[in-house]
Amino acid sequence: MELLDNVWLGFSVALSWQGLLYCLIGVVVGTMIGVLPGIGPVATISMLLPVTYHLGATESLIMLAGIYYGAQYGGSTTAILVNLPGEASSVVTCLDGYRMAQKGKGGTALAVAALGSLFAGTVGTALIMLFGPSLAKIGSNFGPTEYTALMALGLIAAVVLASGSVIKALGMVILGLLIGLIGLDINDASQRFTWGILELSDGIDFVPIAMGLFGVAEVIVQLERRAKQATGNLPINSLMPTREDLKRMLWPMLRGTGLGSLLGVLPGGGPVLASFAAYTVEKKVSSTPEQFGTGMIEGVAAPESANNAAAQTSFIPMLTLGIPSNAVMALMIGAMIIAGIQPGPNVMTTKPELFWGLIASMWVGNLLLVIINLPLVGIWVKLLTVPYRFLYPAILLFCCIGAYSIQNSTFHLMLLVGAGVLGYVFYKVGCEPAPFLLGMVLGPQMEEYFRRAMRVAGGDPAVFIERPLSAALLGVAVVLLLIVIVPAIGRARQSTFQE
Amino acid sequence: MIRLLTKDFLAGLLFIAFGAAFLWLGSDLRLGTPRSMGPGFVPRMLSMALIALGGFISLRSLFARIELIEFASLRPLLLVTAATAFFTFAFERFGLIPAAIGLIAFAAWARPDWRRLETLATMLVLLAITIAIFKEGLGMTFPVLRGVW
Repeated sequence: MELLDNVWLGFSVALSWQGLLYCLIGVVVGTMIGVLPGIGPVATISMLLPVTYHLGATESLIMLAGIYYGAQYGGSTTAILVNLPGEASSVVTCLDGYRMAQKGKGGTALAVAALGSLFAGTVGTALIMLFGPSLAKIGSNFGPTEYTALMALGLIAAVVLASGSVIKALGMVILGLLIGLIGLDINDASQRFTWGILELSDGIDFVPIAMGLFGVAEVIVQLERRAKQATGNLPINSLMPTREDLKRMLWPMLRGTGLGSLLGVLPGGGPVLASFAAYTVEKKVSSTPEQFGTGMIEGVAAPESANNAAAQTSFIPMLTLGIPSNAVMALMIGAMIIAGIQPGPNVMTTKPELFWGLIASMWVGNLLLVIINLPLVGIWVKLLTVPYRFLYPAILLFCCIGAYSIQNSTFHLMLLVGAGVLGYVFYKVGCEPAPFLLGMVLGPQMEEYFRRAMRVAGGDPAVFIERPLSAALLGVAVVLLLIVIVPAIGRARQSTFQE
Repeated sequence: MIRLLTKDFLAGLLFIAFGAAFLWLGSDLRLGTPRSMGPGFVPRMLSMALIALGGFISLRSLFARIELIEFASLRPLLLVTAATAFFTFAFERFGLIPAAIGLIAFAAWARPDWRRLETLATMLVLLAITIAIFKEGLGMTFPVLRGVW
């Protein structure tokens, strides 16, 4: 009954007044930025990291987690009501959600999305509680070889699941790893790529880079595209779904939750991929696939459940192994390090109140989201009418102050300026910044483990396939890579011939 | 010539350039042996992989479907960068108020149809918010106006 004790501990943290307060702040902020297109959880969480200096570790993580899954939730509101994806993970929700709203069933669509999210969040949380501890036990037996292999798997998964070209994503990961290596070499304290600049010997802090790539660069891109403003709001019908609606959403919700939970655990996976996959599956199993895109409840319930389930389960590798599976998780790890906690399998034993409190708060947060959001839909719709021209100067200013406050240093501001330009260039040549950021975060750790593993093995790289666990992890990575690359080669050849 | 202005070709070039820069800058780092790697070993491996990958991407782009790079206007890039750069320059030197005013002015200017009154209002509101949250609320130690507050 250790599990029950732990769950009890978790809820006592999550339901304490601080726990509830920061959870509430998190989900409200999360919903707000989720509703607003053009600002996402990565930029918001990096802007808010400095705030966490003043909070305890548990409170900070509860709040940041709330922002993350709150954003998935808020994104669907915008998608349904104005046909703009508030978040990348709600792109597919636009397809059927907006059609439903046009048919005068906007309220139903919102309710379906909310109920699906709540259900998926509950299941996702339960999964972390059930499987987290055993995974952490496996993790504590990991040696440097296994860690290297696991990180390689994480990076490959990030590459495979990136939305654009696989091979460019691979390049971005390598570039990220290289930039991550800038700074003092841990083994013999030699300066690497620092040109004698003092600030660089600590390595490049990834928070200003994340703000530059996701915050500043996004502003530039939006301005260049002259971001279309949301216009005209559709009337919303009653939020109560009918019995028929509930019956139709049941199976899609279950399938979406299952698929999302699975894809969320994969390092590199996450809500975006999960929502796309769930929509595709739903279309495949439907008896009327041609009706998708005309306002099918199934097309809202499945992806909305999937993205929320994935948002929850993507905490598993971060909490149990200390390995970030996406950019948001990398920022969470940053928040833990700021609070003086070394992420890894030990967190669960040394800081049980943080681990269980965070998980319990995710369930509380999902409930809060439904309770506070259904009545607040009207306010979120109003928020959408705040023009971008008032919003982007605020984004820029908060990014700047946030970057400075990490170490009260102008150097971090310089990094932000540079990363903004770099992010723009990446966007122009069609390279995704997320794999880059992941490589940058994992770079120093991965090099350290790799060198240690090679030293132990006497310089023989075969050790990575001789140790069973490491071989299995690398095997999965190779399979993943082959699955995407092989058809891609076929397609590339086809398109060449067509020209 | 148009084949050279594709996203993929330029992405490949970008990777090659970064790889070459790291290779060159890291050329004096000790390599060591696989058993006991020096500080230069992993960077060398990664740079070479990046160059190879970049070369492959660029070459492949010459024979595949073209996706031309799109350019609308350089104005947002230049002025938003100027905004953040000005803030970097002015924040510690002069304080939050001048830095934020400069940032918002440059940022507003990035839109061809910016309006004076609107920009002024944005400045006032944002300054009030940032001072309230970061200075008063969180007690951060930056100057609001150097020498005065």
